Amino acid sequence: MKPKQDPDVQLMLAVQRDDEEAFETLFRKYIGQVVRFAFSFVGSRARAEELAQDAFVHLLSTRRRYQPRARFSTFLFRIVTNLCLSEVRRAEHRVTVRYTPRADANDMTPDAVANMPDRGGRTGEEDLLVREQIDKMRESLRRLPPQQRAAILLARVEGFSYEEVARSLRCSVAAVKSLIHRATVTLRDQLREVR
Amino acid sequence: MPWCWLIRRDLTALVDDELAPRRAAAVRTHLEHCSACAARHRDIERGVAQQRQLLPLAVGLADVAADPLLQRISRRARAESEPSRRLWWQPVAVAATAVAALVVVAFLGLLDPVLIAMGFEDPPNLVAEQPELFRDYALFEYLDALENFDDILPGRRSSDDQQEG
Repeated sequence: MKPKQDPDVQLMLAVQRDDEEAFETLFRKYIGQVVRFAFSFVGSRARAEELAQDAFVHLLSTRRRYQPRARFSTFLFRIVTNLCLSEVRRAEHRVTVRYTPRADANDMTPDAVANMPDRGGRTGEEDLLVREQIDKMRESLRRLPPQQRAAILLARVEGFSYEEVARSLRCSVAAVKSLIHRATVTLRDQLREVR
Repeated sequence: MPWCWLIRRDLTALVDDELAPRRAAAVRTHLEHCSACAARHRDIERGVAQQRQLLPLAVGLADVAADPLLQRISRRARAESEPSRRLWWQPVAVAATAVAALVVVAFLGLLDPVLIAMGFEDPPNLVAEQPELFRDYALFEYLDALENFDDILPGRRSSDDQQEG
């Protein structure tokens, strides 16, 4: 899809012309994704919401310079990824904060397994196994280096192509290929232990 | 096989359908002949499928309350655009203050020496009639001190007296 064909790009061009309604539409469409993405970096819902706010405020304050070179989501996640990686770097300079998988238990979806589309004929025991896998995945994800974490989330959760991930992370497609491969292998190895 | 490590690097991209067509064909040809790489490929396929299913759940949050966040963003955006609105009157205020200060200084006559020196104002009559009297004004100001120079420096006077004696 060419950037101009992306309806969200059209909305962003309207935001550029100070259309508040267009901004609200974009905000409502992406805020959930942005907070979830940020949450996987900062491990706190409140901080993730602050980062999401920062991202949308940045989007508003730089709207005059916006040029539709890619899908809108690529542009937005470039801002968000930058903020998240900076936050992680700052956190590394401060005290090392250890996020336990259940540290923010109240922030999580009440029952992720119940929300799975193919829940149909699973037994209670299988549900338990899936829950365990989700917990393990969450923990393994947090252990990944930030760049790998960003790349794999953009590719597997947000559905970005490698080229879009490269735009978001400001690196080459070859680098993205390597980041995603390493993250995939690490996650696969750690999930294998759960089976 | 000697090229296995090169092929294995590309297996994730192959599963994600992100390899260039020629490279994808080359990797598939290799997989047909190398059982170890083919097993690795199947393993990665399973891993990617699992990640696509579990990752969105692993990063899942309860619903985000959009309205309060939107209000906060609007407030911040307005606050951040405030300085640009304030800018237009700040130089005007500074200039007005400067003009007012100048008027007060002129009213008090503190600017007279400067205005006289620059030729914008006539000097007082006394100065105009006998300017030579005021040429060395600084000297006159300290005339008293000069007349009583010896009293100011008593130490010097006593040493002079001793020399005379």
